[in-house]
Amino acid sequence: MNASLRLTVASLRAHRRRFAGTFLAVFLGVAFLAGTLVMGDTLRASFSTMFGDATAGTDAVVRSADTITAPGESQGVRQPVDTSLVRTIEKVPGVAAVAPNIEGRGQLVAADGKPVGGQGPPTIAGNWINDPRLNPYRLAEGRAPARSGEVVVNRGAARRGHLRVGDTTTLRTPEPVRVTVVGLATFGGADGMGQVTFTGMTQADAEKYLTARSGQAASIQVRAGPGVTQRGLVSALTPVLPRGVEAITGQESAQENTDMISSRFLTLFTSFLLVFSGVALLVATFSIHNTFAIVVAQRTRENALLRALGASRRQVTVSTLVEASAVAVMASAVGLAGGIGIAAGLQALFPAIGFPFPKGDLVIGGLSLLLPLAVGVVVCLGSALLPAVRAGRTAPLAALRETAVDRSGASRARVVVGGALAASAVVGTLAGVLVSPSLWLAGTGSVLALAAFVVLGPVASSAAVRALGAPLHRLRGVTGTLARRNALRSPRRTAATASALMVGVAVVSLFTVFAASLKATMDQTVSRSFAGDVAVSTPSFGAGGSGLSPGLAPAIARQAVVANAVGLGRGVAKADGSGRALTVTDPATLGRVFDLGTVRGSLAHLGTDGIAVTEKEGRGQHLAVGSTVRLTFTDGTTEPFTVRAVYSRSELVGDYVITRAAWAPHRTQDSDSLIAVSFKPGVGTAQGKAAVQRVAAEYGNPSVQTRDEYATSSAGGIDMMLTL
Amino acid sequence: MSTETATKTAAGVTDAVKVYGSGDTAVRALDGVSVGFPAGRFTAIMGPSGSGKSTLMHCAAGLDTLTSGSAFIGDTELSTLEDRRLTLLRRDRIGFVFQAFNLVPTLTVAENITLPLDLAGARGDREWVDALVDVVGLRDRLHHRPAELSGGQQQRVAVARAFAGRPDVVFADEPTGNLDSRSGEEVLGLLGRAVRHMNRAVVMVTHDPVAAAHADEVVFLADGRLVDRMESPTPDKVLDRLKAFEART
Repeated sequence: MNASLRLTVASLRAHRRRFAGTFLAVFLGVAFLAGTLVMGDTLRASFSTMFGDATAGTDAVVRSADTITAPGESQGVRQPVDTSLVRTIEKVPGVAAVAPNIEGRGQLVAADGKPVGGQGPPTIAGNWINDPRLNPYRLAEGRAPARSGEVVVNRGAARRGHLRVGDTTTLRTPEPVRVTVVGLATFGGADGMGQVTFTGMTQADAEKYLTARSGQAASIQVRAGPGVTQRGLVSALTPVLPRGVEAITGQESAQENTDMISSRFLTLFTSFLLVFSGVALLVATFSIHNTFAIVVAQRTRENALLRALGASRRQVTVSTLVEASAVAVMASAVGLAGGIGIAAGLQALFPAIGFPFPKGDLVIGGLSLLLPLAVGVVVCLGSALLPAVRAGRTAPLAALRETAVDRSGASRARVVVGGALAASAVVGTLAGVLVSPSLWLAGTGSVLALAAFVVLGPVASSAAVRALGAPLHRLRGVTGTLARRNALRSPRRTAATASALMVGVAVVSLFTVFAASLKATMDQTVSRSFAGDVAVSTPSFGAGGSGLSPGLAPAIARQAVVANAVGLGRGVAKADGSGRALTVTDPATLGRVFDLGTVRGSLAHLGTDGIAVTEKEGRGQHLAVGSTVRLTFTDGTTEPFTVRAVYSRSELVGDYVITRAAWAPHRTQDSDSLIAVSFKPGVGTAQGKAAVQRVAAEYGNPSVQTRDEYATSSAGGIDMMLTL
Repeated sequence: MSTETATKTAAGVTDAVKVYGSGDTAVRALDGVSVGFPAGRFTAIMGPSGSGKSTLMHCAAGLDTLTSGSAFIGDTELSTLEDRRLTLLRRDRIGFVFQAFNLVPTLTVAENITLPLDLAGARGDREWVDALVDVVGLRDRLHHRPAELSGGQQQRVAVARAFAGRPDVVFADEPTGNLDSRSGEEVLGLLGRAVRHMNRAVVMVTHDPVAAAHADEVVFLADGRLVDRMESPTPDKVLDRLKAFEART
């Protein structure tokens, strides 16, 4: 064993406890990083297997080429294709089977009257495809739907809704439809596609309830005859397709689905885990630097002795670095194991809290092993570099003198530098938050603040120890005095110990404050913008649910106690070429239940060619009252709309508002996401709410909440995030 | 012992000047000292506190640099060497025994003894090291850590280490300063025997006349100057000489 290595091992053995803090920080950072990567790989692999298995019989998918994606949406809306294409495709040589795939939202109501799913994962309804190889679902029990009103439900959804073959229940499309379960299905060998619920109906039913017009399908699935490859099939299909319609292979389609669905799950959790990992590694950087700075300072005589005896600067530096990398490798290796544990834990935890996580073994790719390991080691070595170089520079003569006393606490330079850092941190953060909101400024400010804490730590620790330690003498006599003196002797060591704890507390408070602010903002948003008395909504967090029946708002409005009931529907279109979410509603009464801020122009007469936009959107897109915006809808048509009103408050209402009449020709599956209701003067909240609930019960029983309840539940999603 | 001029000089300084600080606060720790330490001789450097004896040793051993004048190890002039060469020179040609904190606390006795060899990456002469272990009488302590040894045993480990690499010269800085007289005797005896058996030079800084009496020659420093030399010292003669200094000052 060579000398540097032997010194390293000996030193590690002797200072085990000192490295525990460093070890922990590196461990956490690496564990979160590895956990994130492993979870990502696992998700992708399980979804990929699942889609691969389920759609193995589909050799090509025919669909429209264009999507319209509103900002913030992960998935664009695709224009439907004509089912008449099925007949054209059937005639193409090499085609064995063709089936339209009609897909929409449909939420099952459980035996106990509660909706099934809808807390995040989609609730899908579609036509039951009779060709078993084109249908990703397999019948596990019962039979396929043959008559109107008969459905097949995926087994997972049936279990959660306590539905059995032969049961009759309601499917919200969002119009409530009475359906009888005639079969249970599996997807890719599992009880469902994660927690996605699926209801398969006859093609006629699907066209009737799930599409705006019959004769339209989301896509057309094609199976090739013997000896025809997927590529070959796509090449054969392409010439017969009309403009704007494309064919892709089944494999590509499965891959797209995998990517889409796994990225949707991943973004939610990976960003969270990555932030945590980043913070832990940042802490690790400081912790390692501090630990080694102390180790090197305390080992001045030892290093000087080595230098006197003929150790080169490099040997001393390398021995310190090897020490750091030993800690790094050990902590990273254990961190890797921890990360795999995290991924396994999440895999087990997710279903328990209602999040889908497909079954399957953990997938541990090379990258998820190497990257965290490399990051851990690089962080360790990088932060130990400075102390190590300092160790190498130790003068041999120092061996003959008394140990250099750590004077870090007393240094004026430290106070000045720390003060400057702290000041710029405060300025940066405040500027980033208040003056011109900028994540970069605020982020830099936060990092500077952390650096300031580390630099000022020893100064503060001396003062703190003096203050806190004062009564020790009286309480504990000599022992107390000694404890105080020891803490004071090496302020940097004291501060390093404290900073590990400090950063931990800071991270927890960061998340708590962040979530609390988000919650408060949400609360405020709702109470500021929502001017109604009760809100009728489906779960607001996530993409699931079927939405509310467009018939519900008028039904509520007919109640004697109700003054106004306005439903907000969602649509999507390209506004002058870029995808935007539209709010489809009755603009004339909108202002009575929502606070729109200052309104220029009038919302009363938008008609079929008028639109209202927010001030913010108006500024960005150069729109003002009287200007024209061209909307391209998912059916491919483009129409000019005149801006008739500009309003300032958009939190609940959204950026673009058009009338139901304007939307009707382009609609897909209609639904409202929120109905705001105001009562007539003199009607009590309890009385009014009861009346609204009676009506809602006939429409699949969506939740009816008072203004306060609604605000709280809107913010509730954040609590869920936080508990994770 | 022989004092022929033919004897090779293992180490030495010529017109050595060392100034600490500058301006009004400048202190001339060495003020034109010229002295040679021949191979096969045990030289003691004595003098009152502040006479520059430690500074002389540090500069001669390449631990510190002279303000002017030159220091030699064999034929090598130290002032021209950069840090790396100086480090190699210390490692390969010089042995050290300090007053305290001689050993790396985390290494065992055996590892401490072979440390200079290990730093050189050389196997060294293991038989020689083995013989040294017997000479210093630490065979049964090889796998102990320094903290488990007495002060005398620790200094004997340091002596073994100093000679492990067969250096040209061993510098000892108050090697018995922290020891009781019996342990001190043992360490000094070891140094004396090493000089005679191995024909090496040993240079020892001490303020103890009894320790100095183990040397072949004592050089006396006062106020940074070489003021006297004494062949074949005895404790009484050394003590008398020191008293003479004090009477004069």
